[in-house]
Amino acid sequence: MSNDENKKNKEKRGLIEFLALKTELPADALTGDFRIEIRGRNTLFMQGCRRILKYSPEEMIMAAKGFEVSIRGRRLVCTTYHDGTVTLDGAIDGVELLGGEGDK
Amino acid sequence: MNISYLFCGGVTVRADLDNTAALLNLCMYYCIPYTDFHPVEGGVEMTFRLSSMKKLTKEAKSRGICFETVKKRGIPAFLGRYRYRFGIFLGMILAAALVILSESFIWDINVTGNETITTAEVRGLLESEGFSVGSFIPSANTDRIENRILMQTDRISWMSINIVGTVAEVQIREFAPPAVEEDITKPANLVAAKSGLVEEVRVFRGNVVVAQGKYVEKGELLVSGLYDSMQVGIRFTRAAGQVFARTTEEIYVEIPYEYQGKRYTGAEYCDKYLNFFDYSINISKNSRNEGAFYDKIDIVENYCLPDGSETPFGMTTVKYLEYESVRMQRTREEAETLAYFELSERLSELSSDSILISKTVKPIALKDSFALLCSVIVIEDIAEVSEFEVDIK
Repeated sequence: MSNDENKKNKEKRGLIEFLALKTELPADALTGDFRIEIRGRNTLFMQGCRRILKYSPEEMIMAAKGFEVSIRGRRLVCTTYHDGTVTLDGAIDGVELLGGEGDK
Repeated sequence: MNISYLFCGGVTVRADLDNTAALLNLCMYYCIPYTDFHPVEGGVEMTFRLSSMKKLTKEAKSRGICFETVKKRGIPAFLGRYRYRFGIFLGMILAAALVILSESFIWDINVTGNETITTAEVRGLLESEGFSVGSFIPSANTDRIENRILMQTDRISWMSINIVGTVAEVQIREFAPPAVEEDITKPANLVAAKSGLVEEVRVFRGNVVVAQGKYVEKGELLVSGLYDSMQVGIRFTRAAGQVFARTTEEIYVEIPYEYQGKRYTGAEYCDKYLNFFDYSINISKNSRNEGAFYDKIDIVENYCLPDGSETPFGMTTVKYLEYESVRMQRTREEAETLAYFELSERLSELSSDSILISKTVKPIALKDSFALLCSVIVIEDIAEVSEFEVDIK
């Protein structure tokens, strides 16, 4: 890797990312970002959800810090939603970060 | 069902898919807990506590979030449904007061130890002293009642009233009169109470003047209370003993064919009374034909607890069966059956000490009646004490 490329990569890292890298702490712990955990294909936990933007059995869109998270699937049900933590049940087909549109 | 919803009340609401996200956001924002979240046709259903509903409804309305209440559950919801029906609450309060107050009253009286005195008689005595079912327990002075009843009647020698809970256990001992001792200093003969043929003589005291096989008339001397001897002269005693004789008795029974009887018209009326301790409330009103005759049948049914003990609550049904008093005819067979029944009743009245030797029944069909002439031969004790005066000079 050339020196130019290394320089370019270093420029891409922000302060938080840099700190997370140096302190070996998870980024979400430092920034308060969302965290998604999928267990099998039927249960999804998401912490840091600020709002539910769309609710339907086929797709749910959640607003998180800086992103929108789209969860697609079938028979999706939001079984709990409390203190920013969402639990979804159903057949999960995909998770997509839509980016940019969520709460800043 | 969630137990907290039972006591705190719960409300199940339904929202369509368009409003679900907004409703969930609202719940999270205001920390309104919900359970039993599940999808239904075209939307979702979830259950909230009744206490959260006011805030939820208010905030949802201000944000234009629509949902509908599907079901209310729990005691508060039940009470809320009847909050304007004061009669129900009043009835519940009265029932509770009644249950609490009823613990201070006598519910039942159990009488034990009575043999010749009936339970009803004992209850009557207690009632005359103001102690009955429904009496106020704190004001019942059982010692005073016991003493007053013992003074009131000679038939009871001892009485104890124990109040166990709401039941009065009354134990009594009946008065056993001492055996009357015969005054043997008073002279007496034994004479025949009936005419008959002497079969056996058992003399304990006295001078026997009849022998086995002799026919005696009624009033004839059987055992004399006088002794005559050359050494001590005439002396007297009180004759005692039994003289068994063969006697004949005739029983005549006549049953007329025509008699004054009842013919039920079929009209029947019922009055129902609700019993509460000693009080009865008529809960039905019936108008009857004033001039008519009725047979009255009282049916008292007190409700029982599962252990079989009777409660002072119940229902009395008074039935009135209307009848006409008319001249009626019975057939010869009916008259005959009735006559034999009457004869068996009369025969059972014979002394239990008698030994029946023979019985001859002769049916007599008269013009207006049917008769039975029964001749019975029995062996019985015919000795009867007959006192006499002795003038000693």
